[in-house]
Amino acid sequence: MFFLKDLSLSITLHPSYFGPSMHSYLRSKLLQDVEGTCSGEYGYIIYVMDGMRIDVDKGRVIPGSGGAEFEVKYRAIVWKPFKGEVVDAVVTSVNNIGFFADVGPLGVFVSTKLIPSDMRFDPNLNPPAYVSEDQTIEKGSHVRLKIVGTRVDVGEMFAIGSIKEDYLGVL
Amino acid sequence: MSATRPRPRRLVNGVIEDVDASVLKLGPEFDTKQVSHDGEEIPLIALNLSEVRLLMMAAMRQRKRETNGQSGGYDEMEQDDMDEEELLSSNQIVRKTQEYLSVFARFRDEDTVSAVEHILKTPENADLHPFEIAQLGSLSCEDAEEAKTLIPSLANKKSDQELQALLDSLRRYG
Repeated sequence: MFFLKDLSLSITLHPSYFGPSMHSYLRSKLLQDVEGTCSGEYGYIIYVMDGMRIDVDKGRVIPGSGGAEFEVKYRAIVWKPFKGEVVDAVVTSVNNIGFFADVGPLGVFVSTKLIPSDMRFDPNLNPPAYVSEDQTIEKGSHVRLKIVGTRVDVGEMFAIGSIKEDYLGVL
Repeated sequence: MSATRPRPRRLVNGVIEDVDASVLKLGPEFDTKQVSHDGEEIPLIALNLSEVRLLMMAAMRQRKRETNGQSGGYDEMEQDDMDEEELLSSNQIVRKTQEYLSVFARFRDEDTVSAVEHILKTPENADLHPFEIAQLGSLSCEDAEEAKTLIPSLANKKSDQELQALLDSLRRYG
């Protein structure tokens, strides 16, 4: 699910950056540090709305180091997958234990246990696919799946999905 | 591994949270009441795929215009014609998101996205959660039964007739 969230980032600047272009440096450092990253709290930060106000506070000099810490407040488009959420996806690979599909930046794995039992994996097809009477799932197929679990590792998310319920499967 | 699988939990500040979109439990960061940077309480803003696609295209065009403007590059005409291909980011996560939106966004232009927003955000739908409204705008559904299966939290909020009427209006646009 996509959201617009108000977020903030703390940036510490070395004194060599103090000067007239400090604000624009902070704005570009914000984009660099935050866009295209992933966290467990907010999911993927997709885009910083830099056309809107980006609030940079006055800054606080850090005792002992001479650098200054700035709290940068911004608004961003974030995307986070939730257990129980139904999403559309593009299949990227298929094998005998299941298939992988991409939902934007997130890879979702759907295991055979969560694929309807009337779908059989056929490795002899080109490309290999899961096939039933009315559906074929192969690389490039568009499928509707339900996210059944997510996991976060450093800077990355992983998810498990299912197509074993009504109205899920090939689109 | 234990024989019974525990409910998925998240430890946040020592408080155990259950995250489950089918009952609209999205965790504390996505509470329906958010606090803006100005300290005001604002509602949670969830966006459907079509809204995000247009928002990002407009924002990226603007950003490109500003960076090119600073280096004294292109003339205005060329930039306004920037299509989706030219706006693709070099960042893999952003790019994958752009490509995904380009494939799955149902409503392709500003007018239809606006019309959809008007259909979804009526006073009768004030009881719907932002997540539900965004899902209705993202997932194309034929009938009320499908919508209630894919967005289970809707089940007790709307009658089948009300929901069917809503879905039929949406389908006129995409």
